[in-house]
Amino acid sequence: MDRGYKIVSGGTDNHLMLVDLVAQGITGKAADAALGDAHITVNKNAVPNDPQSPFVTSGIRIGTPAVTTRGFEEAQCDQLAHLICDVLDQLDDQATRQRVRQAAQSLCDAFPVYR
Amino acid sequence: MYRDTTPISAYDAELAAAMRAEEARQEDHIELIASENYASPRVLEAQGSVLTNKYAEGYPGKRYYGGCEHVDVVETLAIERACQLFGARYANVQPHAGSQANAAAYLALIEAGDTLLGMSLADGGHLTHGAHVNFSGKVYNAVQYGIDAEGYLDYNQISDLAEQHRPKLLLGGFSAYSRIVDWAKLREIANNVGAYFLVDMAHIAGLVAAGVYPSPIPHAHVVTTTTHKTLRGPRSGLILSGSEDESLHKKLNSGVFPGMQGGPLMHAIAGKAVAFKEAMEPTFVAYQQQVVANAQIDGSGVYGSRLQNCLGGDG
Repeated sequence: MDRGYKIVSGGTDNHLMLVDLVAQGITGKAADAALGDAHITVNKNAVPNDPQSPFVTSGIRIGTPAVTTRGFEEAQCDQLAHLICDVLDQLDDQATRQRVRQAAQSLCDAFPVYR
Repeated sequence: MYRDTTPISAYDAELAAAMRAEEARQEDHIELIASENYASPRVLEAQGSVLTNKYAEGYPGKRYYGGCEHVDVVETLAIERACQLFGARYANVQPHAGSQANAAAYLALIEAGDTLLGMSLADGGHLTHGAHVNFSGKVYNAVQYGIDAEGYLDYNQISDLAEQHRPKLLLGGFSAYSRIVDWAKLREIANNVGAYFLVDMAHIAGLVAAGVYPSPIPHAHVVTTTTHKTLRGPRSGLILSGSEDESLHKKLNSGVFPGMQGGPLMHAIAGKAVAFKEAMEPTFVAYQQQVVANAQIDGSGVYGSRLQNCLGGDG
């Protein structure tokens, strides 16, 4: 955790959290794009004392309202946390993205929204 | 006239393809944008109804157009349900969105050039809380507060800024803050300088409705919100107040119409009426509890620490 990705304030009391990627030198824009390519949609978000511009940023914002509507509980969110980590750990690795994309699809198939 | 109209899918292939692709994206991607949700088919039904055709400038019983007897019922239902859901004395269901709700409320409460004090966008606030690129930072003298090194609101800083700048309006609320806000403390700060206290609870409205996050209604003069985030209704806005002051209610109504908007979107108001009814179901409370449980996934307290652990290579 000393080399760990920081969650602003260390956690959450509500439905959202901010992941601070400054220490890793990953931009919010790059993290947003990599996760999006793996079919996990987040948004880039400025973090306190962000060295990057508001269009690039050094963080991502993650929230649980939508996945909870489709039926995700703790088990699915735990799996999801790992998938996010996998993508961010190897930001440019296409094989990881492909694997995560398939895992995301399986989760979505198991918890449909309107279908 | 329209009985044999071909649907979009058969009439406009280009548009239909994009709409179908978006439908598929919503089904097949994991949505973690904190401000998004999936509205119920009933909300979608209301949004796609003929209510979109009706002009209804004014308020129920006091319209500037004829033929409003049925949309009056729709809007009255939405108002009554909003008040019941949030324990409010006043509701205005006409704001088209959260930004319009805020603009209308500012218009009602303060004058151009007055000072407002809100949370900076960079620290987790919202554009409409005084960002210099937004009307709120252009029309008003916006002073901004932020978070401390640990990522928490610093009430001493807010209090000092209030003393120094004497704002007419103190804004609470956020778009990227993951902690409980002490509404009573902010009201006290506002009282100390004679400012109005407005809370924009857009992000947490669903949590507040379900009682899993402290309600700002007892503490703020005015509460604004969107209706499509945790509240899971149509993409729209809402203004509430717990105050019994009818002159305040009147000012807020005038701020929305004719101050900020013309005709209300009656289909969206019907969508809000449905969503407020859905939010009073016991299943909605269970849903909101699960939203927070999912965000606080690991036993020691937080999804955040699970992420910290595994991103840090420990799990």
